[in-house]
Formats: sequence, C-alpha cells, structure tokens
Amino acid sequence: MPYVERDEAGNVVGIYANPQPGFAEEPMEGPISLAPPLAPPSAPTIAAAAFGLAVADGDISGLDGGFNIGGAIYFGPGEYLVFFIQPIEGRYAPVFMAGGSVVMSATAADAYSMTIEARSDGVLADPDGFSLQVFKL
Amino acid sequence: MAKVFYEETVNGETVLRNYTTTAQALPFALPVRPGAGKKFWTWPAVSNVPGVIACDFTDAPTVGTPTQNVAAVAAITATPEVVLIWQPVE
Repeated sequence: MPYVERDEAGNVVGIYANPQPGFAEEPMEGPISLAPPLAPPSAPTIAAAAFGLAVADGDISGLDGGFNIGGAIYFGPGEYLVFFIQPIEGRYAPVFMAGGSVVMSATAADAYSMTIEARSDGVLADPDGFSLQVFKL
Repeated sequence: MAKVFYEETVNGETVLRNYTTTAQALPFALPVRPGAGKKFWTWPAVSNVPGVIACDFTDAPTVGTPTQNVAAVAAITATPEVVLIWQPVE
C-alpha cells in the first residue's frame, strides 16, 4: 500500500511505496488530490539584450548598453551579426525595436551568435538604429 | 563604446573583422571573438571604419582571461592611425 506526504494545506505532494517516518506515514486510500500545478513564470526569461545599436555610414557606430551581448558586426547593408558572451542553449527568439517601416529578422548561427537582416520595402537596408531583446523559448 | 579589430579565418581565408561593443562587455567579449590567445586591437572609437582595409597585428595584445584583458586593453598605446590602413582616397 502506498503512503502519501501532504503539505500544510493538506494537498498530496508525494507518494511513496513504503512509509516515510516523520513525513509520509499516511496510507493512501481512494483517489488522491494532487497539489495544483505551478503557474508558468509570470515574466519571460530574457537571455540577452542590446539597446541603442546605431547604424551609420556602413558601420555599427554605437551601442548604448545591454547584457550578454559580446558585440555587433556589420557585414553589409541590412546584414549584421550579433554575438553573445554566454551561449544561449536551445531555442531563442529575438524581438526588435526599430523605427519607421523597417522589418527585422534573425537566424541563429550557433549558440553564440545570430545573423540579423533589416529590410525596408523588402530590400536589405540599414535602419538608423535598433534595439533587441532575446527571449529564451 | 569600444571598437575591436581582429582577424578570423573564413573558408580558409583570413579576413579582417571589427565589432562594436560596450566598454563593460569588452573584457568578456574578447574571449568569444577573436578568442583566447588571438591578437586584437581595440579603441574607444575609430574613424571611417568601413574604409579600413588592413591592420598590423605585429605588436597587438593577445586575448586572455577577462582580468588579463582589462590590463591588456589599458596597456594599448598604439593609435588606430599607426596600425590601421585605410583605403586611399582617390
């Protein structure tokens, strides 16, 4: 017969094959009511962020701040690479903030970096600047 | 802000790269790019970066631990004008 462990509210939080002296000595009888599942985190996990990336005259000309961002490399008009200090394992999704009609997208190159494309009217082009946050999925 | 110049090998070819970072992130970014033991130059700002076509890394510092990198960056006395080569203006 299994034995159950309960929390202070009376919810079953553990089931054991044998009695556990001191915390699970109650025989399990009938259907049990397990503790409600924990709610998902109310805040997202942000794995990296870069604020105030300025783009001018064929260069990443400024970077105001951020975290876990190693740096930004200018490859060509509308094409950049951003790399991280600590790798981001698993899936992640960047969210961009740029002005005007700029559409930005990114592709994970590896756990340490991602390539970014910026397009205006469908054509690769430099925005004046942008910021980004990278969310862990 | 800081500008970092280094070389990396792409498809067997040595390419001069540069990136933009913050002064705070710089000691930690260097071990990622160009990587430990590799040479680099860095300055707070460099003029006409797209016009840079070559760089002399002969006397450049090498990447170490973040603590070592702070000291290496502080010890840089060469100016961009001394080690960088810009595309001649026609």
